[in-house]
Amino acid sequence: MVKNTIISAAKANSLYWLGRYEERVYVTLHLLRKCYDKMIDGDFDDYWPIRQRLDVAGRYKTNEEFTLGIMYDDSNPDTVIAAQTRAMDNAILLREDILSETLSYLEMSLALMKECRGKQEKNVICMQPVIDWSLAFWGSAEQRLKNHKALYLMMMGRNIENLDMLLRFDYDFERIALAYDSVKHYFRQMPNIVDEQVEEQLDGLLVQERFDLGDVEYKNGLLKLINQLVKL
Amino acid sequence: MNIRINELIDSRDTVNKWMERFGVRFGVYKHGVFNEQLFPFDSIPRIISHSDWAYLEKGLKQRVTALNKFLWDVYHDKRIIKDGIVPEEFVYSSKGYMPECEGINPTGGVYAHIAGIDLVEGKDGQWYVLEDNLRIPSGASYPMIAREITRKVSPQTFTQNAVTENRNYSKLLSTMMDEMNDGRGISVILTPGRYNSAYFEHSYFAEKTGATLAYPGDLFVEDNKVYYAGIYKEKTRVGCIYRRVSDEYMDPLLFEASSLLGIPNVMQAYKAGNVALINAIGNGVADDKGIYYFVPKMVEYYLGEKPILQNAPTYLPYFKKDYDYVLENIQRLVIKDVSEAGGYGVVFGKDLSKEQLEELRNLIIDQPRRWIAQEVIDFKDLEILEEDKLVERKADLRAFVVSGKETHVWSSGLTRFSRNPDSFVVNSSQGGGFKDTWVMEE
Repeated sequence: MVKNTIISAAKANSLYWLGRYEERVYVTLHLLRKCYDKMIDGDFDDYWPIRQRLDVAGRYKTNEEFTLGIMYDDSNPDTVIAAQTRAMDNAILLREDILSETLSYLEMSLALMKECRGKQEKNVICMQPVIDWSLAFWGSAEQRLKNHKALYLMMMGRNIENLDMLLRFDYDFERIALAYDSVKHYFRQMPNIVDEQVEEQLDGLLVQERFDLGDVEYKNGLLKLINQLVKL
Repeated sequence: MNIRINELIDSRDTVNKWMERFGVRFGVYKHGVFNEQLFPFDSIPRIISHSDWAYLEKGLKQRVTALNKFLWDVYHDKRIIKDGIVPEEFVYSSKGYMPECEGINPTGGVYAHIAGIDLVEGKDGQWYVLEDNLRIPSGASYPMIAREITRKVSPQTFTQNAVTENRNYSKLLSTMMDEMNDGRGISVILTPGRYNSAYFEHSYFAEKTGATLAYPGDLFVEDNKVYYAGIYKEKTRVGCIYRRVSDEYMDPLLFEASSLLGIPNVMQAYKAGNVALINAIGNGVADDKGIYYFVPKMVEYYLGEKPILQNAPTYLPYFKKDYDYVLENIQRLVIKDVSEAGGYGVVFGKDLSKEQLEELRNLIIDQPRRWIAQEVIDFKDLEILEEDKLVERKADLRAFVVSGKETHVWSSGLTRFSRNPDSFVVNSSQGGGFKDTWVMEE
């Protein structure tokens, strides 16, 4: 059978957003684990900055409500389960490209989250398989995606989400510069879908001399530009 | 036959976990809300002996060959109508007859590339055809993936039993698509989208055959040729569309104008012979419940052979003799509305009250063409495992026949069973489950 190598606009969109949401699952869980560790026996000031950023709208009153909410509250778009559901919604449209084996890691993650929610598991460690399966998902995708453009679109989504999250959580310049480098690596593979003007602006802003995430205007400007980079 | 399946039965929970892992689901709309649910799988297979299968295979090939000849005839010479074998009212009043298809020559003369023939086995061991599905029969993906999983979970079962491989269905499909495509371009599977009840199957077949899964809006027609549109406005020629969209939604410029699922002008490309449509448009005229009655006659008419497979004893109230018989025996017959599908519009006379029987009788008197009646066949029940108990339930078999340059019967099939002990209705949309179908090699 003659294999199709071109990607439709709808499929490109699904690939990109699958990459973004799956990375959001991974990074949110990583941050939640950090916060959870500090909440075990730490002072308020130890965990509050990260807790506040994970629960921007201040939905959850106690630490326990917060932990359960960030893991299982699917009415809140910032939670792990909400991101996993959206990753799945995109992935389900891509079975023929990513193959059932790759898709199965997301199926298992979502099923586990629902099971843990049913049991009201409070310890974040119950989500460890989700971290493992997320990494397995990426490994499997890299291995099995025969259409390289499809893989680049997913990786672009993944790296843009990573950059976005690092900025929101005020990571240092070195980490952010590295993440931006990764984004640019994938841009070089598919230059047609990148907004060059936005890229130029970002190049000018993401330099050591101007880097100041304490400046709200600067930070919001960066976030806005990052989310305008890809033309899909 | 010495069949050893204990290990497989013991692995039931593991098998179901794997089904969940692979997202083996189907969608159901209830009260306008879409829900996806796992298709309940029973690990005890339906077992068909080598000799029974040889008989079925021969009969299925014969039946589908005759149906394909009938479809060609209906849309071309109409010999079977002129010769008085099938009354013209049954053809032209059928909802599945599409006058727009008159004179179209599908690639290779094939109409029903994928036929799903529903059969039951009577308690006496006799097989009966209950229904021919020639439009977009679904369900083959379930036994395919079930076999994939059961082989992983219980390899010994397949060492100990000589079961014919069934994972070649995707190869049958892709070979047939290649033959119909004839090198014109890529082959696609056109799905109505994520919220279609058989979406799992559409995406699974795309994965397994190497075809592209196309959504409404991905395909367009230019100069009577079909193309798949890329993100940079590039286009690639499409030579074959395995469409999982109903006839009436396929071309909004010719059929249902409000359809967003189809491809404007695809019928022009099809008429010009620039794209193959699998299955052909207009096949509904041959799988109409009324036309079913005539299929054995078609076999004799077109092939000059005795039909190998039997229909369930069927009566058409359209004929005076049958009309009288049906009205007299309505309380012990099963009555089917020819315009319904999916297990809907099927009533058993024995389940109706006196008033309901009277109401049905009046409906038949009003519109005799709308109904068929059948004797209730005493199906052979199959064992299923309910919790940890073996119970017996009604089951049918959907056999799949793939026709390209040649006609092949897939050595497996979808065995569906009712989970309700008092019901004959096995459809998944009505709560039924499924089994793998083993065809034994010896």
